Formats: sequence, C-alpha cells, structure tokens
Amino acid sequence: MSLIKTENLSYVYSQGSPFQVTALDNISITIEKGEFIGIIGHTGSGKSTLVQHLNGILKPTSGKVFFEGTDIFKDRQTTKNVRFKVGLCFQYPEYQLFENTVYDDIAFGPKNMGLSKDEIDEYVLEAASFVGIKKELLKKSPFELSGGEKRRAAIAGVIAMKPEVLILDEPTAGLDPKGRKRIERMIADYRQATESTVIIVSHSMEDIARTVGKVLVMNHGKAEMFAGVDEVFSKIERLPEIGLDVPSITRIMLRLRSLGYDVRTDIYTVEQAKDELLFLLKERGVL
Amino acid sequence: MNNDLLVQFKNVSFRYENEEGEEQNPLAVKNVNLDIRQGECIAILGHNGSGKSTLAKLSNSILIPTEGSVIVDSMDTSDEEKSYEIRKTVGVVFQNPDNQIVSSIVEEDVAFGPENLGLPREEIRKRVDDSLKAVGMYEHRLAEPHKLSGGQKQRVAIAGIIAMLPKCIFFDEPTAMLDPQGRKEVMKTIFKLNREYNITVVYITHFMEEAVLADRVVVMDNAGILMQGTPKEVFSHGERLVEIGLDVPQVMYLSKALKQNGVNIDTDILYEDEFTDKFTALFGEKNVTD
Amino acid sequence: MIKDITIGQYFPGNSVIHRLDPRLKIVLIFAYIVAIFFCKNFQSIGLMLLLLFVTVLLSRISLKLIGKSLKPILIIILITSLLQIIYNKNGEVLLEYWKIKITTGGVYTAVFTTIRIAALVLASSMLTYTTSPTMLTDAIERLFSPLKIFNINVHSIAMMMTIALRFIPTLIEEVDKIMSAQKSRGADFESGNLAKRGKALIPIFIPLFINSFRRAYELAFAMECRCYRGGEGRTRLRQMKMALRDYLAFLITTASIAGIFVLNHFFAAVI
Repeated sequence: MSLIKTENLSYVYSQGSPFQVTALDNISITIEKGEFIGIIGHTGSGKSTLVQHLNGILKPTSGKVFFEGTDIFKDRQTTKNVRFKVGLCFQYPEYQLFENTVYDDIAFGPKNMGLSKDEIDEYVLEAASFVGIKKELLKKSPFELSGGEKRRAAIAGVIAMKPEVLILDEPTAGLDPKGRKRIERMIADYRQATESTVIIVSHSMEDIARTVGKVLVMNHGKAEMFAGVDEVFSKIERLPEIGLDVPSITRIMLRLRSLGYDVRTDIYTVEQAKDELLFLLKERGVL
Repeated sequence: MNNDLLVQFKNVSFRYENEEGEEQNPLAVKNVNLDIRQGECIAILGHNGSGKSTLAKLSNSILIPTEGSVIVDSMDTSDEEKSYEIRKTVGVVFQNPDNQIVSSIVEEDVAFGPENLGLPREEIRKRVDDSLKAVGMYEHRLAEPHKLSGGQKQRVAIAGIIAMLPKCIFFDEPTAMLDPQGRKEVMKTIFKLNREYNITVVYITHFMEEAVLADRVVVMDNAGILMQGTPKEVFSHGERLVEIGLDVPQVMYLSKALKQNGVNIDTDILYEDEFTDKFTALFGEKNVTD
Repeated sequence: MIKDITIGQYFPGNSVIHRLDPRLKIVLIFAYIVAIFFCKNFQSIGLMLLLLFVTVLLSRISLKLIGKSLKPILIIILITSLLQIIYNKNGEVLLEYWKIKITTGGVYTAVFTTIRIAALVLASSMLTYTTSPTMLTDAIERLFSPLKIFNINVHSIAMMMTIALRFIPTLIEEVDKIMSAQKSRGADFESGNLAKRGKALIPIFIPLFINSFRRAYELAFAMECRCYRGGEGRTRLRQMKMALRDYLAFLITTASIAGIFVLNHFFAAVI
C-alpha cells in the first residue's frame, strides 16, 4: 500500500469570487514509504498549496487525499491525526515561534498529541539533537537565538511529533551558504536515522538535485513531471520554459552542447561534470 | 584624486545600545575603512550576522557610528542637520519589500519620497513615472502592492528610492527573500541603474553568483572587513571564504577538479561563459564539430 | 477564509463614481446616511433607494458583490426586525396570537429599519468600494485639516491610517499562515469552551505581534531613508480638484435630500 496518494486533487482559491484562482489542477500522485522527494515549481505553481493538502490543512475542492489507504478527510478526527503523521514545516518557520523557551516551543506539537510528560521530554530532546540545538539553548527564549538557530528550532518543533512523513517548505530560504549546507546535512542525517519519508519544496533544481531521489515538477497547478532525478534531467530543457532555474553545472553542459560538443546534459554535480569532460578530452586526444 | 569619493567609512565601529545595567553588546561593526567611489558597483559578502546590514544603515545616517566617521559627499553623517541631504544622496533598499512599501497603490508609494522632499506636483509626477519606467514597473503603477510578486514589490521599493535621485544606493540583501525569477529581475535592475543611470550601487548578498558580477567585492567577517578586491582576487582565496561560511561559484569547483586531473585550465574561473570559452579553447581550432 | 471578507475592500475601476472627489464623496455619503433617518414614508425612502440604486449602477460594481456585502449584517437585520415586530404595538392590529400581537406599526418599523440598515451599509460600502484607501485617507486628512488649530495632528493620524490600510492584507495573510503552521503542529482552534479557545489563540497572537513589531521597526527605517519627517513641508502627487461631475453629484444629492422633506410633507407618515 502506498503511503500518500492523491486522486484527481484540485483546489480553487476564493471560489465564486472575482479573484478565483485554480491553484491545483487534477493532481494524482503516489508517494511510497521512505522516499525522498523534491517538489519544484515557480512561485504560484501550487507547490505550497499541494503540501498543505497532504497534512489536511487545506481541503480539496474536488478529489481525494489518502494516507495509508484512508481518506484523510473522512472525519475530523482522522484529519486531526494525520497532522501528527505528516509533519509540515512552513516557509520561514521561525516567524511562528511563540513560547517562552525553546523547549516549550518544540514541545507544542507533542503536547497537542496528548503525550505524557516523560514522552514529551524524550521527543523534544531527540528532535533538538537532530537539528543540532544544544541543551543550554533549550532554556533560552526562542527570540534570543540567531537566525539559523531559530530556523532549526522551528524545524525541531515539527520533527518532535515524530511524523512518518516530514515536509519542509523552502527550508533554506534566506540563509547564508553555511546555514544552507547545515540544514541540508541535517535533513540527510535525519532521513538516515529515522528512515522516514521526506519531502522538500523548493524553487530551484540546484538546491535539491544533489539530495533527493525523485522530483515532482509543478507548473500552473499541474503535475508536469514526477520522476527520478535522472529522468527529470533528461528533459532538462523543459525547466527554463516553465520558469525554473537549471543548476549551474547543467547550464555549462547545455552550453557546451549548443557549441557543438557531444556531452551529456543530464548532469548536475561537479563530480559528474568532471568525469564527463575528462572523458571528452581523452576521447578527442586533448588529454 | 579624491574628488570622486562618494561615501567614505573612516575607522567606523558601531555597537547597538543595550538597556542600562545589561551586558554590553559586542561591536556590530569593528574598525571598518571603506571608500566608495562615484559610479562603482560593489558587492558586500558575508555570512548572517557579519555586520553587513549595519553597514548599510550607517551609510545614510540611520545609524551614527559609535567610533570613527562616515562621510557622504563631504558631509559627516553625525551632523544631524545634514541627515536630510545625506539621505537624498544615499538611499537604502532593504531585504523585505513588504516592510518598506508605505502606500496601497504603487505610484503613490513611489511618490512618498519626492513628497517628503516637498517637490512641486509636476516634478513628483515626472519622477514617479521615470522611476517606474527605470525598474520596468510603469504598467503596474496603479496596482496594489500586495498583489504583486516578490520581485515586483522589490522593484517598486527600488523605484521609491530612485525617485529621490540619489547618487548612491545601498541594497541590503535585496534578493534574500525572492524566488529565482525575482532575484534575476532585481539584479538586472541593480546593474541597469549602475550602467545606464550612473548610480553608484553597493549590494549586500550571500549568493556567490550575484557577488561575482560586481566590479569590487568586499568580504565581511566578524564585524570587520576581511578582504576586498576584484571578484577574481577575492575568489582566489576560495578556501578562506569557505572557512568563514561562504562559498565559491560551482564553476570554480569544476575548473579546480579538472586541473587536479591534469587538464590545463585556469582555476580562477568565475563565470559559466568564461569556462566554456576556456574549455573549448583546449581543443584548438579545428576540433569543434563532428 | 478571512481573505473573502469584502467590507472595506476597494474595487479598482474608472467609473464616474470612482472618479468623484473623495472629499465630496465622504460628505455626500454622510449626508445621505443622516437623510435616510429623516424619511417618514415609503415615497421618501423610495427616493433615497433610487438614488442609491443609480449610484450602484453607475459604479459598475457587480450586484453580486453588493449582495455579498450585505450578508454579514443579515443576522443583525433579522433580529432587529423581529424585535420591532414583536414589541412595537402601534397602529392597527394585524394578527394576534397568545401574547404576541403584530401591528402595522411594528411591520412598518421593521421594514424601515431593515431598509435603513441595509442602505447605511451599502452607502458606506460604496464609499470604500469606489475609493482607494489612499484617496480616502488623503480626503480625510484634507477635510479635517482645520482641526490643526486644536493641536490635533491630522497628518499623523492620516499617515497611520494609510499604513494600517497598507498592512491589513499583509497581516491577514500572515495570520492565515501562522494559523496553518500551528494547526500543522496539532493546534486546535475549533473545539473546546471559550476559555480553551481563547488560550488557543496565544500561538497565533504572540508571533503576530512580534512580527508586526519587526515590520514596524523596518518600516520606520525605510521611511526615514525616504526623508520622512512628518507632514511639514510635504507636497502631494495627487491634487484634489472639483470637476463638473462633482458639482452634478452634489446637486443631485442635495436635490434628493430636499425631495425627502417635500415627500414627507405631501404624503402621510407611516412611522
């Protein structure tokens, strides 16, 4: 049985008003347990709207969402429970911190789950260690933390519910290179340790190509492609057409190709590019 | 020689004040010396909390140095009577476009600065139209800001500054909150202002691909200036940059990886087209197509 | 969702009503609202409704939207009408059942109250629907500028209104987002008693306040950077000048209001 499944999912904002917008248009996708998925799309492509359906925050205008085979909108209790199983961390989550201490803020989710005090403690400490928030920081006010720490504390607040699926909407937005790398590594470690399903929403292929296994490309509310990273890269020319960025390394390969060099263009890491270019140089007898 | 000096930071240090009795804050900016000349295009690089944003606010007397002085067009920013003139000379565009737009209609927001300057109505109209055209937002002049995209909002904010006809604009991480599309729009606008309108621009960023496009890169670390120079000079210290939490462009990693494998290619390559030019040159002239 | 509320919203357009001088619009709508309460019979209130109807048509705002603006006050109208019908014992008795006595007086008052409340809401909605918030605050600033002599800083008040209006959509979006984020962590805003629901708002209001302070702080910097130093010496992009249409609107409205008194005089009062 698939973990998450959407069936002809459509969502219309402000239906019936002059501002009516179709945000999602007939999306049918299946996500299996343990997958690492990237969702990319330009602003307004529906990627954030889609993930808010996966944990029941938004209710489809038409179509269905299933979690482990159950319709998540079957009744209120089911919808409520699915939020603990599908943890969704919004964009700029640090702007949602509110408790007196970092500890209490991370504990907000576990408390709402109705756990015992000991369990809450266990969940909070585990989540804090995943995101690299030291014990001393837990007693501090979340507003005393640095920007990067706030972001990680906020992510911990979602991880602390021990969700089966972790969804992160633009987790690295606005951070400096060091902060970005730190979050990327943290997500990878978390996945390895928990073997949970992880979904990352992003604007650009560059951010996710190296890490995820499968990519869902959203365009104007439609699922344009949903395939393995390599397969998406084999159709890389399509991305700029729908307003998306191509990784720098891929752009170089595309440029070489357009200059008449027979190189692969489904390449996105320095390592792959190096091998491909060395191969070309050797083949032509330059090296 | 010094005539074209526009903004000068002289041994500038700055400390955010704390409530009395509390522990003193560390210096946000420490002993900075920086000369900005008329017409330059400068990128300031640094990780979060390295003091970059404070520098922007020091440039037009929003903040006054704790020590040292900032001279704008031969006016000292600590001279309160000059603050009005100084802000006319040096404008600042901030990170979050939402928090710098005052009015609910694009053109009225752009008019806000000129209105404060007490200009006659016809002059305001002209400046508003010219500024909106310069940033490519003229056709949206009657739009409501909250219905625009991030990149468009940021361009409206830029128009609001250029309507005051400043000689220099500081951009404090103008693209940090934008999507790739918005980032491109805003960077294009910044370079256009520099090249076509001869406005001196200083932009703070932590995107390496943006930094390499400047004439001069200033790297901040620990509240001070760590190094500065042309992009080539600065990025030749790649390891040091990574050490302080920054990065180098991907293309530089690629050329280094090739060099390590015996390919005769420069390792200071910063731009994609520069790479493809140098790479294709390896094949000689005859060998292009087959 | 909160985003769907239309009261106070502005619908851009280029109709005659949109282009009227906002100062005049405020004055006329105020006069109109006062006048409604002077209507004593169906003839005079009919005239006022006709005036409103013509205004709505001229503004080219869809009738559907107009209907929508009345929706939130439906309950208020129903309750007040019901109370009038039950408690007003004037006039002929139409129906008597147990302790309830329905009289013509009650029915007439109920109908008039309904019309008055609806007309009041519609007229003020017409003002906000057809006048951009900035125009509105501008007009208020100019209309009330004589208050300066009482040491009231009209400019500051108008500036605050401008900024408030500018940030309402931003903050609504923000509340929406914070709510969704906290719901994602299992927050429950929909069940429990009043105290519990009140407590459930803390995770929304604290971040909202903190973010608003941050915004205010940044906005203050941005305004200083644009040489803002209060109302003194400020000029304006938009000038307000009365045009022919403004004089016409003024004439029509005053004539209608005069018409009320004529009609009140010639036809019998029903309330």
